[in-house]
Amino acid sequence: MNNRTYKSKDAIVFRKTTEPFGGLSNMASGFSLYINEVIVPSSEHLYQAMRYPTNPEIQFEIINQDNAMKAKMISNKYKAQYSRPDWERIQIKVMRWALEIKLAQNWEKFSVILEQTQNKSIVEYANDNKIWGAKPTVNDEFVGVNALGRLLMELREKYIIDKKRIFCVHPPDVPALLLYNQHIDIICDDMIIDFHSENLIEDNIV
Amino acid sequence: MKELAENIAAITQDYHSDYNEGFVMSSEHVLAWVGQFDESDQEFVLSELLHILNQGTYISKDKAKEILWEFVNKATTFFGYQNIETFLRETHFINSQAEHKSQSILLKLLNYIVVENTGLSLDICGSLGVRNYIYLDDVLASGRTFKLGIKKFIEEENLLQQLINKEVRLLSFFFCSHTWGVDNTRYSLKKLFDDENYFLDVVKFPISSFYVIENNLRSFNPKINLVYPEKSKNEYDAYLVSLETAILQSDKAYRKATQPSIETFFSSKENRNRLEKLFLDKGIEIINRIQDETIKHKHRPLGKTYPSYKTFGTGTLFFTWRNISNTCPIVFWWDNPAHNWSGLFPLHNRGI
Repeated sequence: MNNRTYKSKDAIVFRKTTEPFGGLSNMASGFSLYINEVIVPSSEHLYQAMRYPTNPEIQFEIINQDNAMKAKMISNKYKAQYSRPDWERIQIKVMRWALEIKLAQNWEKFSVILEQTQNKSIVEYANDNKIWGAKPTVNDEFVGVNALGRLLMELREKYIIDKKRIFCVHPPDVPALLLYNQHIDIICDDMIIDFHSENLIEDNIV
Repeated sequence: MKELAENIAAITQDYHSDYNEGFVMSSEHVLAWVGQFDESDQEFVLSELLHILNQGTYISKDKAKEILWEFVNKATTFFGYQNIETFLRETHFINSQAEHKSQSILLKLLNYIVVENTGLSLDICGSLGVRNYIYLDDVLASGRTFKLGIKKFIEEENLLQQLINKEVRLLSFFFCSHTWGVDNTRYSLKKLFDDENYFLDVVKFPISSFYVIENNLRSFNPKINLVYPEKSKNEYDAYLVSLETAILQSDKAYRKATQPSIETFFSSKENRNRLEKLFLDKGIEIINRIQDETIKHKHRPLGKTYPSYKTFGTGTLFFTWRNISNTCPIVFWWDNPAHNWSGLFPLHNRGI
């Protein structure tokens, strides 16, 4: 992905999770995920955990942080020594997938936020030169790769504009996508609802 | 073996003591039960069962009172109160089950220990307005009873928004919970309430328990402190295939041979494998003696589970004085002379 330039007035710029459109941030709480029957508090927790497929104990430490910032900090602690070596090559694919799951499993709340961005550019405010956001410039513009913003716009294009609710999320084309040593396969939201609403015909299970 | 039986009887002495059915646990009863296994396995079964019971998996009535009193104190602190009285005056204990069911019975016991320790009764609950709701029960296995009870209560009292906004709080407490059931129930509730994230939030919607059975195979290093066999005999696969209408969760029928990563519950990995096979073999034998096909398919050798699950059953190894959970392996509670089996812990109020 290469650098882009966005005019402020034509863009939805999100920064703090408590501000308008804060739900677009990976750091936002209230958008938990359910992966392989494990509760993952946010897409950021999931993204960071995927960096350590052969270290389930690191994944556990990340996923048990009570907020996304802490999850990121834990990952920063381990990345030099334990990160999967192909991370930079696959990270965008993993983030795209994590965002799709965020949307599929939080459709009511998250689709509304994406809808409210209308057709404006979505930009994550950044102070650094990392790929995820874009930095403000003196010309009232934002410049950067803005990978997160672009992935969100991709999501909007694919599912929100034509209101195509997403139920199943396929894993990305990435080897060793593991959570606690178990492969993560296709994740379908509706499958879980079906068998938990079945009726029992005799004495109840507790 | 007599000594093993005596030790087991001593731990489980007060089983069903609240009922006037004439059942009294004794070493003779334990020996009669284990006599139903092959002679070469009997001493092993008792020794391993004793090992399991010695890890606090049997809750006597006295222990239950201790647990409940400790819970009241912890909940008082958890909700930020200085004293139990004010806590109770702003708390409502959900009573959503029928009179003879576990929740009602536990609430009566809770009342007893509150009166005994404070002179106050649960009649004062909510007298200053309700800010806290508590769901109390003995076992959460699949979570179905809990899920349906909570859903109904929240809807009837119109509490969802207040819970989300933290205007009121809901704490759930069990003597024993199964992690797979807890995790799935949280997610089920989320879907039942239009994707409401509140139910996945362990801080806003806490579910705690005195004893945890880690049976979520996909979680991090589960202890698997229950009967959960690994793949071995073809007969086991044949049993699963015979469950024609059960089509879900077939990948959960067996644990991996590498699970648990370290054995901390059974006395050894080998003994775990041996006991699991014995209970599964006997369980399948008992079920095969059931004549009625419909009834046969309602049961599983390792205890109740969802009918649509292609598994051997829940496999619970946790017992209370009040009544055995039917999610325990049927060797513990099945009682039918026609099937040549008598349980160690008779099941009160068994549906069929």
